Amino acid sequence: MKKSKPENNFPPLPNEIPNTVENPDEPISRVSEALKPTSFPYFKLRGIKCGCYIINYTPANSFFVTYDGTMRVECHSAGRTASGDLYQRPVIFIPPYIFKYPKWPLINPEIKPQPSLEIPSINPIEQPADYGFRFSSPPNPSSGIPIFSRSRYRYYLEVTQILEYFTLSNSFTLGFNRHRFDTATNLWAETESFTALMSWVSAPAGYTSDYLSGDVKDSSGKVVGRLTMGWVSEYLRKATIEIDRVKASEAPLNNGAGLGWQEVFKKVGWQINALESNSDLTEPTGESWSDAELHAAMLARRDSSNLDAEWRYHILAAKRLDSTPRGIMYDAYAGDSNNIPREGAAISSHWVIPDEAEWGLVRGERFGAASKPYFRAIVHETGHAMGLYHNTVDNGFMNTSDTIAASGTSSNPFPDNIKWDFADDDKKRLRHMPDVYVRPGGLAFGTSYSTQPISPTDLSDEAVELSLTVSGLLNVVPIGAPVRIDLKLKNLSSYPVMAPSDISLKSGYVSGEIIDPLGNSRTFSPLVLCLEEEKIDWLHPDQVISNSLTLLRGGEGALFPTSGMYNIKVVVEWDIKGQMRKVTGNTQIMVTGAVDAAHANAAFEILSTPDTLLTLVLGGDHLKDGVNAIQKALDNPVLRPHYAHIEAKRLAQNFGKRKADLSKATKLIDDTSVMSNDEKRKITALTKGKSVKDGGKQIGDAKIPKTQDVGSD
Amino acid sequence: MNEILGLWEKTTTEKCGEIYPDEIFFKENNLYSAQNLKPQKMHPVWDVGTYKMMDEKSIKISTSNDAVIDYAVKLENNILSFTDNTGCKINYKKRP
Repeated sequence: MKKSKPENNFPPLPNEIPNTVENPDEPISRVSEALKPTSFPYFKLRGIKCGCYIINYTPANSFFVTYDGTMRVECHSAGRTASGDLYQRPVIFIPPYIFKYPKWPLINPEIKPQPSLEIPSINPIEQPADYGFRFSSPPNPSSGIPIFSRSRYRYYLEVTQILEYFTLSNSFTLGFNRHRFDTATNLWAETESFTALMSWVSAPAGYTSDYLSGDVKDSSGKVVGRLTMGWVSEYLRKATIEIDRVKASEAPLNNGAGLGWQEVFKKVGWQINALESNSDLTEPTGESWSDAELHAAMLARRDSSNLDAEWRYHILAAKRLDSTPRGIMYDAYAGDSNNIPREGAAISSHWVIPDEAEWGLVRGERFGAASKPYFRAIVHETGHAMGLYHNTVDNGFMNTSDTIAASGTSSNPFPDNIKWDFADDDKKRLRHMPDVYVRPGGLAFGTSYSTQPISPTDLSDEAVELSLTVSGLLNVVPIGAPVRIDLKLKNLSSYPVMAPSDISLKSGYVSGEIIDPLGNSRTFSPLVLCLEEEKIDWLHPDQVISNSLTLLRGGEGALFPTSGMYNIKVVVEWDIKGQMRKVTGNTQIMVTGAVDAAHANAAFEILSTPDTLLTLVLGGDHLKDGVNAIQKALDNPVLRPHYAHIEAKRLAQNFGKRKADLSKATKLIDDTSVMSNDEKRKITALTKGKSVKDGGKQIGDAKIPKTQDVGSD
Repeated sequence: MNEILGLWEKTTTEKCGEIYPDEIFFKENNLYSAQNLKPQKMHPVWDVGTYKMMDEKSIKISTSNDAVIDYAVKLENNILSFTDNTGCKINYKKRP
């Protein structure tokens, strides 16, 4: 049996499984045609229903072990994503004197040995120690999504294969990787791959919809157990949010515009029961609460505390908080005084929003009276309680209020620029992260998961043994300037890995996405591909290859069209014998606004002229619009340093009858010129040794290397 | 203390410093962003948030659970040192 240990100590979340018919030789149109009643009225069409299933896995080789859990099947336009968790069902051992009592139910009748598993019937007399046993009760399907005891957590299931549209047969193959969780160390111990041919069977009592079962086989084809799954809910997970408050504080129930807890979490498949409970909390030592006081009040006043029966997150609204101005998920680090993490969060209703322009429409308001940012902040803190960390990929819930406020503009001020949703990668985490990461009382806040965004359409294998570091040459650039970023691809592992040996845009392996301050996405990809040879080679342990990108425009136009914070995501993706692999990295840069009218005009020319990109990449005098736009940028003192290299490159090359003017090209470059190392190399080569001044402070003291940067950090 | 602006790379290797990010970028608008450069067991206690220099020796930095924590801070010989309330000292050097 093939086992592996997750290197990252975090099991990978399941990839989407693309929309394909079960039998690829039968296109959907043909199947649909075949289903016309006049042709084949007796065919039955079956599909796997979206939502939550109660699952049970019973190994073939043990009397005393069975696992219950849930499987979450998310349906979306790009395919399906599914995951599951398994908890070991408690076994009650029965002393001999009870064991001999004939009416005692020795074996749970729900667990029926399957003939194919060859589970021998249990004969009490043959029990080695004269002890009998029984399992505790299985989850009750009529109660909907079940909640299991945290101490029984055993496995995370990463589903790799599932039925997509429909099938004409009565079964389909389910593939999954099973990640074992070691409850003693809170680490992921090993991973095994399995398949199960799941068939629709008659549902036991309590199930009202699809019920399936199938033998589970390991990678050698040996039957190792039996899996059942019965649909119980259209939701994927369920939880309760209890809101307690002091009398003077508003209960954060919604955003004042019709969006409440249920609506927010319905988008991620969570069934939320929001309870407005106590409204008479007593301030322990004045209007401001310490973390310890918040924790004590939660323990004393919440309506229910059995986290093994209910996922309950506690919200406390107080006038003020000692540890923070707005909101906090206090049940973390030293604030988690009972070692049961992520049970509660708090919000401050009487913080006064600074009377500063960046706070837009709510500047100077009392926080509790500003429904939008107040509700957003407590959803954010609850997101922390659900195991999420800050996420600046867009203006969604897990970004910080400060960052969102700072990205406001006069046309889209805070809080109108709030995105009332979780970012896509956080949605995936809420739907598919292992239970122990999201449920209250699970793993401690601060337990790491990969913070790289998980692309929803991505079918590539993440190359976890590699890292891609993305950093801006300048972290702050003026509007209209190209953004130069440095890439470093490094092998973190102790063995060589096949990877691209060239990570320039021209290599074809590099692409990316820019998220602007409003959360809009724009992509970039190579304009020119160098197709002569495939540049895949061994990247040795600790070896680093580097390159630089100069970004200005992409397929959707200017990449940095407004001022504010941008998130730049770079993907390096390559093919190893048909298996796509990828590594991603990201960075943030700030684009500042125009300093005066002249700068604004020059930036406008650059941003509105598509040819500037071609001029930047190809050079050449024939791209008159691009050359003119760059000339205007050179005439502007703010933009000149950013375009000097581009113009120098053009001048240093012959074009038609125009001869290269190396002297003029060299004069364009001075101490203020902004150039990446690659650009420095190129201009050095073009000017054939003529003196080119280093870019000074803005570039650092990097020397112009003679060869490509390949080596160790 | 404008000298704090920019990108800093952690040089501390002591165990107590493991929860702090490998690099941190202090921006002009009192916001910062930080990250680990390779997978770690713990998510960094500073990831995205705000900072405020209180005086030349102390700074408030918001943490990954939105608490705002006081740290002693010192900038000397291009090394930026923070000391948390457990006495753990974390050093960063300026990245060019």
